[in-house]
Amino acid sequence: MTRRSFLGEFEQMVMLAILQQGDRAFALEVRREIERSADRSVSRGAFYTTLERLERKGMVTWAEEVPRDEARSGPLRRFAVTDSGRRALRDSWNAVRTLARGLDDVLEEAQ
Amino acid sequence: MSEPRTRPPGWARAILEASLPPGPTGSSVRADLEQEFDEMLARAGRGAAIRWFAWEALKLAAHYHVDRVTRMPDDGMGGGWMETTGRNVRLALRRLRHAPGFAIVAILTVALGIGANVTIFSVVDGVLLAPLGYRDSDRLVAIWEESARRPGEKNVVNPGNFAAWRARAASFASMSSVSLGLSVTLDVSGDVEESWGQYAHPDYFRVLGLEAGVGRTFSERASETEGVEIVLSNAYWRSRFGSDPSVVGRSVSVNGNAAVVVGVLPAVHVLFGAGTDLWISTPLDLGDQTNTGRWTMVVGRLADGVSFQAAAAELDAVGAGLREEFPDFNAGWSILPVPVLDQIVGDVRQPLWLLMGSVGLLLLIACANVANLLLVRATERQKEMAVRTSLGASGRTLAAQLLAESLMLAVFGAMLGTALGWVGIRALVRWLPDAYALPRLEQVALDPSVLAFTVALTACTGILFGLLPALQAARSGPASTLSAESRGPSRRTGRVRDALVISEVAVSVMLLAGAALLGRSLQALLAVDSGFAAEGVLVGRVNLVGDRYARDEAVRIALFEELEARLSASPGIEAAGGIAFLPMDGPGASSSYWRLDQPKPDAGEEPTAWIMNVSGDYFGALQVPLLRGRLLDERDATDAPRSIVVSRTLAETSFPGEDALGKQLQVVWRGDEPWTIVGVVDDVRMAGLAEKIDPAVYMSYAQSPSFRWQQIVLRTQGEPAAAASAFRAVLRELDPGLAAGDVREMTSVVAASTARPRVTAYLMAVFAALATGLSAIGLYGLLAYAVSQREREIGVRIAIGARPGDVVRMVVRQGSRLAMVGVAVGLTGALLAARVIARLLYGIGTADPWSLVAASALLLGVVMVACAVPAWRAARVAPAEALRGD
Repeated sequence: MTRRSFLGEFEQMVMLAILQQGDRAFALEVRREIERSADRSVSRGAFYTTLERLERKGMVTWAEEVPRDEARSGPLRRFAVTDSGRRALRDSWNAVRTLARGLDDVLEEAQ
Repeated sequence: MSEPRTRPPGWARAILEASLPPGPTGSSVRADLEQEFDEMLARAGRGAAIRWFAWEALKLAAHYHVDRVTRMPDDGMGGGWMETTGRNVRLALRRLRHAPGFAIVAILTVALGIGANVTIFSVVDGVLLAPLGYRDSDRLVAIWEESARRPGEKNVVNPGNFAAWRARAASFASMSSVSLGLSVTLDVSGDVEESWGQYAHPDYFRVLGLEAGVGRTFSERASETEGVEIVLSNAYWRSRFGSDPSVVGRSVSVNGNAAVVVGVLPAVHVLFGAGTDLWISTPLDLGDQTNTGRWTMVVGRLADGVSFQAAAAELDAVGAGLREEFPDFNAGWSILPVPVLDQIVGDVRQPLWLLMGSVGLLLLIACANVANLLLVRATERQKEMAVRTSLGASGRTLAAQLLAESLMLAVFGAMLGTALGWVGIRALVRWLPDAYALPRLEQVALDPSVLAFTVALTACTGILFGLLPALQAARSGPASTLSAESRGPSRRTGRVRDALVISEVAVSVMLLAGAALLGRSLQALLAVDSGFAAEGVLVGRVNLVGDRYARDEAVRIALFEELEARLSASPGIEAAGGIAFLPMDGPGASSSYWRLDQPKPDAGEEPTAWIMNVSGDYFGALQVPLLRGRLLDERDATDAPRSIVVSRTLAETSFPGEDALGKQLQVVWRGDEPWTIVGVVDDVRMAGLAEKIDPAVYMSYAQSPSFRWQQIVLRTQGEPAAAASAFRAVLRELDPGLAAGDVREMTSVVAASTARPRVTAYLMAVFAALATGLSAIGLYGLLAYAVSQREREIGVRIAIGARPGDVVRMVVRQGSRLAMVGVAVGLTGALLAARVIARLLYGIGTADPWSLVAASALLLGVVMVACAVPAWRAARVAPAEALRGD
């Protein structure tokens, strides 16, 4: 059995945001998606280094694109989640769902 | 109208640029930030946008830097290895500083192993292995004669035989000869000094293939048409002439004859020339087989394509021919060729290889010890490694750090070891020359290749034993190690440590047994009665130079008589005498003889005896006891009937069951006259304490002034050295042109003759002691560690009623069990290896029980001491403390 590591919370958020953005998953858009959905600000440093860590783990990939906006000074990177990234996301998500089973009321109470 | 576009501040962009990863990743991040800057500019104005960009760029740069540093040992990217190495070295030094005991013991162990090896191997290399300094020296052969009565013993050569070899042996391209060393008086512009010279044929150095360092060697016609030429040894040139190159070309006088210094030899060992100050050219007048006896030494250079074996076979045939042609002179004599390297280093090869083997074993012990120390340390640190692995350190990080630590130990050990080796070589070179008579010692220097080898070996040991257990711990994962911690070391590393200690003990026992054998042998040797009393005796050589001494034997006789008479009348001198060759001081003169009342033995069957020309009160000065008859005295003058005193061995072997007194001998040395035995003295060891006693004949100098020199022997009251000035003053009074050479105490002559076995035994003892010390440290480390691991078990034992004595016994039992196994293995090894030193032993066998018992007992004693401290610590374990530790 290969060793599997759980994804960190922020890693899951980054990958879900990439999936949400679909073919518009440029770094800037992904970060804004997280800020919008989670309603919190995201440190650029943490965001970019997380992207690179996920890339090293083989969970996301990116492709370089020539920007349409002429004012832009450099290339754009469009991100995508790989199969193994999707599997890791599903495992983490299943684990959370399993653990949360029957706790809906309890979790709702907090509101 | 459009404004010029506002750009983010350049300095912030530069900082960001320097921090971002290379390639599209970095440039896209920068482009993202600049795109946001443009949005900010539109929304909040220029000033706010610039402040925002500067702040965000700095944060991003800092983030990337921290990320890279915390990740560095894993990916090693971006030129970080130097920083990483520097950090690992600093960490290693700090950890070693926190374990000073471990560090000091490990470094000293490594240093001792390296130092001893570098010292001895440098000597071996310089003496045995380095090139001789002669052209094609492997083509050179020393050629001796050999008497059938002393097989294997090199005998000097008759000049006539040499001439025949030279003419007949086609295996040799060239052949030359040189005389034995003789006392010569060198007069440089009125400055007279006694020195040691050899008469050499003009082609001697050409045959040797040795060029002069300054000037030249002999011209081809030296001593014939060119006059007498002198070549100086390098050492004599330095000591007597202060390395002055202008000495070449100076006119000097040698033994009163005019000569010219033509050159100085380089600082290499000259064949047959140990201790020789100068070589004097002598004409190629080769004499014949009958009139001159045997006194030259011969070297030949093999012709191209001729092997040593082929040359030896041809010489055999030449020797057989000479036996037939000159049966009176050559019966029983054959030719003994010896390769020149064997000739020069043959005697010292065995003791040197023995010492080399000993230090090699010492290095093995040192490696075993380092291995043991590191194993213990690594086991101790298994928990640390496990914790660090669980905190995210990778195997590679830990390996790099442990490697740095092992390498630090090796580096410090190597530095200290090199220093020790350097000091050791200095000490040996300074200490050995007189005592050991080691050829080529002047060529000994620190050998870089052996230094590199020993350093590499210890470093590998350190890496192997420091790294593997730690990595094992790192690999096995935190959980197993953390939970296994309380159980102590793994069974496997425990067994490895036991084996290491056992082999250390075994090797130490072997070295101790070797040292004990050599020590016992030395003791037996020194207990041999030399036959004379060396204490309180001063000796010095007087060489009579000048025409009047050369022409007239009576003048020589008179001078020595007068010198000895005046000296014995001097205050502080009890007795004064003279002899040509001192006992135990190198070569002597010998001759064949036979009883005149019996038929002459067949040629080659005659016995031989030492010939001693004694003057004054020689027997009194050396206190050689008279057994029967009388000593030689003034009654035995030049014109009196020929009288001799003989040694006890001569009397017993030539006159068994008879009274030798009054019997007559024919002595070839001194013509056809009969010599009548007037006295018998006790035997004196002439050739050395270990050599067998040969018969000896003593003649008075007045009746046999064969040599122009005498060694003057003075028995003094009080300090012998104090008589030296009286000696020189009396000599000057008699003839200001004479000098006393080699003035020394007789005890130093005897000491020099036993120097080799003494020095070999001492060095061996030193190495054995070091080995024993190292094994004791190894055993101590193992037991101390075992006690610390078993502290809780011991605590429980004490809590349930074990007495301190029981605990002590338990620890000592563990140590002594290993030691006993080691001793058993070592004794077996010692018995097997003893053949190696059999030839170096005198008076005892290789299985000498006393030596083996002493070695074992000494080692077990040291082991008990090494056990004592851990045992004592174990006995003091407080049960409550030990149990609470959990």
